[in-house]
Amino acid sequence: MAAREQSRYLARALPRAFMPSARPQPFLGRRNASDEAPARRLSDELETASSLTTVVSEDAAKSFDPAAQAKSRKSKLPRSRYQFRSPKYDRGPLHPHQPPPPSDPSSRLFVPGPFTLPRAEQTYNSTVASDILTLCYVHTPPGFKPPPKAPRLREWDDSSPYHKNRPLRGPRGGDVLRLLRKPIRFNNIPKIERITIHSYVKNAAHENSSWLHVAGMAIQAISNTRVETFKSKSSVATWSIAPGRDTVAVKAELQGETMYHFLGKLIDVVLPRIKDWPGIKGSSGDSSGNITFGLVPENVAMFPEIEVNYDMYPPKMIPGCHITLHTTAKADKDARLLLSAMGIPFYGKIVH
Amino acid sequence: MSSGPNGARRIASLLRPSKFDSGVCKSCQETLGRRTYASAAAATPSATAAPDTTFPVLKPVYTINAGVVLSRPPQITRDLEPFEKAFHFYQKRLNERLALPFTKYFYFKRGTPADVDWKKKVAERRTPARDIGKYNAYATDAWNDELLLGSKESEPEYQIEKLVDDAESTANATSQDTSKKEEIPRPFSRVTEADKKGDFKSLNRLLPKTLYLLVQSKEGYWKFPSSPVVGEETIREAAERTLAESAGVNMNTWMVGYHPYGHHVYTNRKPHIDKATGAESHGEKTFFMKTRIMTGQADLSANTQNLKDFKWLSKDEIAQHVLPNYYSYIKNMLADR
Amino acid sequence: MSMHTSLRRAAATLPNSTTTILPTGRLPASQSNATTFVCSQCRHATLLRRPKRPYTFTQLITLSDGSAFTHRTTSPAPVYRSTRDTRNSLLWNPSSSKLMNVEEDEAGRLAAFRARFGRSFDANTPVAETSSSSKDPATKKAEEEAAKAQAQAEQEEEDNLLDLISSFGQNEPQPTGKMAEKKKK
Repeated sequence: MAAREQSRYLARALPRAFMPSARPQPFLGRRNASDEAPARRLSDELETASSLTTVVSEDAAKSFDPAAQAKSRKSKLPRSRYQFRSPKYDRGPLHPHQPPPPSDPSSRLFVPGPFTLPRAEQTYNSTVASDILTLCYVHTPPGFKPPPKAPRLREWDDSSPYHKNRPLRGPRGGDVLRLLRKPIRFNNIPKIERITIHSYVKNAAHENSSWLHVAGMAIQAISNTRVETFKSKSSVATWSIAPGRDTVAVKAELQGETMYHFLGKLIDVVLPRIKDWPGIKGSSGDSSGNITFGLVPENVAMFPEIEVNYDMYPPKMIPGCHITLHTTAKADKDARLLLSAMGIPFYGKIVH
Repeated sequence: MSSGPNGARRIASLLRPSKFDSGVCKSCQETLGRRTYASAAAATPSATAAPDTTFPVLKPVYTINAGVVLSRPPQITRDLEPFEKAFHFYQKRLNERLALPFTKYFYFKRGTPADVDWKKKVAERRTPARDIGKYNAYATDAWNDELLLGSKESEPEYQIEKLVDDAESTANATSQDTSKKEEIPRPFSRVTEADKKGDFKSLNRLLPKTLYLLVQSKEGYWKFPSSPVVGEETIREAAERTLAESAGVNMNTWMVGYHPYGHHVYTNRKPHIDKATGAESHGEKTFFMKTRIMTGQADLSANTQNLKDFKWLSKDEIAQHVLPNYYSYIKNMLADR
Repeated sequence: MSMHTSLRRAAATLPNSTTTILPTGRLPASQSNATTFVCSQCRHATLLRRPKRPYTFTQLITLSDGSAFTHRTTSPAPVYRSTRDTRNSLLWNPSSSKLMNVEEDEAGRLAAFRARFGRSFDANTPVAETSSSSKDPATKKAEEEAAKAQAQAEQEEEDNLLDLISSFGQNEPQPTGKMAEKKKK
């Protein structure tokens, strides 16, 4: 370590001493590793044997009609001879019949997609991510070493023999170990990870299950995702909800393309239509980068998917919901920065 | 310790006029100085034996410039690659087969005009989706799901056209009066007037790409607006002043952060010596601040920086305008898109 | 509707203990895949359930300023035209003077009303400010005229929003306010 430091000083000191004033202008300027690499395009990365690059003669292309060819065949093979069907059961790794991996279209677990390149995702990639990187840059001078921090879990002071072999003590002022926030670099720019839409339907417990069905249908309509149902974990005597007995909540979890479509729809169409909506409260968040806000039933009814067949939902049963935006940010401050860059307003006192 | 690093340290300490190097900026020098006092005192007291209390103030050999990279972010989504179009289309047809079937009666009441219209259209295109062409995932020929050469179905323009057509025909079929034709406006063109005319001064050109403001000096060189830092002002203040002096105040801009995100070093062939002060300059170092434009337009009519022209250019156009040396410095801070 | 059956099934398959709630869908299968390597031998066969996803369409959303984008949605409507969105909402455009005046004051009636019965809550408008102090009918009339002129000017402002954008930063001294003051004098 020390040797490297000194040689760096040497290297920095040498040119100024031995080189006189005139230095030749470098012709190439800076040389980077990226100079040699050609411009990256998706088409370049495709195999040369791809169907997108092969040249087919005009008449061969015109005469090709797979449907007609199949019809003209006299004898047809039975389906089982050409179509692979994945086994219905996973019988363990030692079984001779293994199901294909879920990424295989013939797998029973295959989920097709993506179908589009969502607009919100493109905005994030082209504008928001680089802006956040520039905005959150913290300059540390060369050779700077951050002062050593105290360990997050404290040692016992060995004042008592009973301290021997005890697990370390928690941090001062509470048991919760907060997430470590590392400086934001190119590889940990906060991004939206997933969105959870959760709706607690209290009437489902003491009335009938139709409340839950309507809530599930509404949440599915706005989120493009199948909902899961959950039983109550806690007892609420006034609503006659007992833990483990009553199914009271539905939840949809969105990721990837679906999530970005939902986010774009939420920001661009739904939230501006809410009358006198001040934004998300500045104190919202779980202090590890996930921001939650709620929509009342009237706001949920403003989603275009519910508006299109509003009559089909019993008007009283349209649920409100909580929307949690999970980000990869480690602190709420960064999550709010990301979300406000994506177009979600915040109001009130901003708590970090 | 071996003799190697010791020797190196000795030579270095001989050569260095002081501990403080002009290669490190002023605030960093202060931070470093403080650090080394604390850490070095603990580790190797002999290294800091030389007194550092008096160090000569070094004149900067390079002129420090503040540059502004004023950019307009992409306004519309990018054009998809042919592979992406084909992939998305294929996945849509796979999805036809694998998603739950469309629950028609949840959306259309039996017997209503909308229901009649829906049935007619689905019989026509064989599927509820409008953008995947004629394809029925449940028919016996569902295996025939690949597009033939030259078919238009995977093009986004075709799909949008189909959507709008469908909306129009539904509006016409379900409306009460048959005399009036319902018109649903098409989305605007992705190519603007400025693109067609080749107007480099317009902010409405090249909507899917990031545009950067480049100015041309009186000598004819294209560069980002930049000017020397004056006095005690910070890089950001200097950048704001530079922007106002070069491109005018008629812009609503946002300077992203307080740190530069790129730099350019220009070294003179021979050091220029100022006759009046005797200070010599080896060249100039420009530090670029990232800035976004919200509204407004650049205006060089009142500039005080000897500029004669400006252009809004994307990254690949910048490569053709600036000198190769300049481009080699700036290219990594410009967005590809 | 298939929705109902699945909900029941999901509820039925949930374990009785409330502490562990297994998510349905794709996860159990993949989890079991992972766990088969951990446990020495899994004798049971796991059913690979096909993930259920609602049918989705591509929809074209047209915002109020004419910009359009497509997204995937469960709604069968091909085109959704929004009237209120980020492009014309005050919360997203806090500096837009066009969106600031909410009520349309075409004939200048509201301005005239304010001039006459102006209250303290709308004292920020220049007309109401003067009305509270002045009692003279002649000045009142002049003020009414001024208010009308201002309303008209505001409407003109609305018409050429693009000009407003292009001349951003130059029109800090409000021309309409000046005109009103001139007329008062």
